[in-house]
Amino acid sequence: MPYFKDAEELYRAIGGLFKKLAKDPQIGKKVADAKLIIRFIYKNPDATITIDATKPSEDGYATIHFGECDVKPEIEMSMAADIAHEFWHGKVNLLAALTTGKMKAKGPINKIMKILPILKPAYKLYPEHLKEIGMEDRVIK
Amino acid sequence: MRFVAPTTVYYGESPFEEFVATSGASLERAFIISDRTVSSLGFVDKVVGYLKEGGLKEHRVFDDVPQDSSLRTVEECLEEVKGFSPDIIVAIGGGSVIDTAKAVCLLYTLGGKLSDYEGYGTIEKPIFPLLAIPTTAGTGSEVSFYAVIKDTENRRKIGLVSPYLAPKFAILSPEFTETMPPRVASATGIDALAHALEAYVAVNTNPFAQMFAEKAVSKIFKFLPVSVRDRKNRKANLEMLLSANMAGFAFSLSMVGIVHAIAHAMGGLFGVPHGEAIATIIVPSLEFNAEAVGNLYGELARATGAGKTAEDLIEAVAYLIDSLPVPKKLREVGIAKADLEMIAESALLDGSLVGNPREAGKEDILAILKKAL
Repeated sequence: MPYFKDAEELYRAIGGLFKKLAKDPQIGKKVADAKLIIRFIYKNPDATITIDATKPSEDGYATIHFGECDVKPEIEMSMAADIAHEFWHGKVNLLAALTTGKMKAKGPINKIMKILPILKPAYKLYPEHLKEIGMEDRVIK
Repeated sequence: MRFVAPTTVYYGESPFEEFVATSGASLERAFIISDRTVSSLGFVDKVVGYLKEGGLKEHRVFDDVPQDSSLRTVEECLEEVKGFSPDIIVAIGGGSVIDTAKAVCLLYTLGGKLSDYEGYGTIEKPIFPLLAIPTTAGTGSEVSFYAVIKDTENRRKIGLVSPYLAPKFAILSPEFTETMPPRVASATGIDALAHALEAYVAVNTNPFAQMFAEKAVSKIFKFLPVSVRDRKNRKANLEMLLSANMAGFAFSLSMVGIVHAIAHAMGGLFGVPHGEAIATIIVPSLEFNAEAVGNLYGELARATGAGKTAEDLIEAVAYLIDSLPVPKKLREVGIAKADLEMIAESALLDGSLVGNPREAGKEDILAILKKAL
């Protein structure tokens, strides 16, 4: 049984986390400094989130698009939505996921690797965020 | 989890005979990719001679690959391959030549631009068969899942990672490595050593990577000094080819780490040859990692006969480097105290750092560099 029943749930959970990160003075600023446009393509449920860290907006240090958009990403990460959910809990090693094919990453390898340490502090925020939006039952213990 | 080793490796005194007899590869039309130095040493003609025994009727040679292969070289070579329609592509050379051949095989099979395949897992089908014949014993490119090509126009490197990039065949023959000068043989051997040492403890290490790494380190301790001292020693040269090959498997199945991150920065900023950069920083880097890898360095010391502890292993590496004709300190490769900050900043952005077993910040890298000064 997948963690999210539809795309809307995924946007609330993972998309909501991204919106928080974009406003975070430390993580958001670092992502903005990296000047990355990164697209996450999820399967089961199908959903797409694009973080454009070249454009600050009311979202914070970046602009976040849910669903299809015209922005051309520098990096595209594809994965099952369940893997993404586990990743944001800090339970999936990025390198292992890439080498075992659980995640695919298209774009400059150095930049892909560079975002990982920036995002690490988000692992703590994700379960808290899930609780805040009433999705406590999805928190992986 | 899975264990993938897609390359059939032929090695020994007469590996071509075995290749021709058992590979099942169609060899009537071979496209050979190499560089001018390798060509001028007569290695291309030698390989053509061997392949004729296997039915080679027609071949074409592209020997314009520069030291750091570029997108333009790949494109030029690809056009010639398209005009020739080969049965097999043969790469004879070091990492740059083999990486160029991998990129050409990829685009010849799947079309598109190289940047379409940049990243991890973006190649989803087998590519054109490549036979790789290394002329150095270091990069492991003849079996690795990686290729790096310079995009000179945009001043960046395009990195590709996929098991499909591993050549279908590799031939390890010491007759092609004995012309390396001792300093180059040392530096390339140290690169292989670093591949194995880093793969053994990387964050995603695994029993298969460790198995290859262990054997590679063991052989390098034993045979690198002999191979450097006596460049015509066929046995030592073959053992070094095997070591580099196993180290190539090891880091393809696992990852490299901080040593490669710093060496890439030194190469990119100051043009320090990769193996020489590694020689100057490997010992303080191992010391830095030692407290994060548990018993792994001790296990490796025991398995390779270097001793019993992490300290024994590090001492064996330091002793090996001391015995080789390579720079031992950063100042010997022209790096001064004022350059360290820049190197540390660049190393921090290197993808290899993610594989390192101990998280490293700028201050950690600076501390390693200061020790190496």
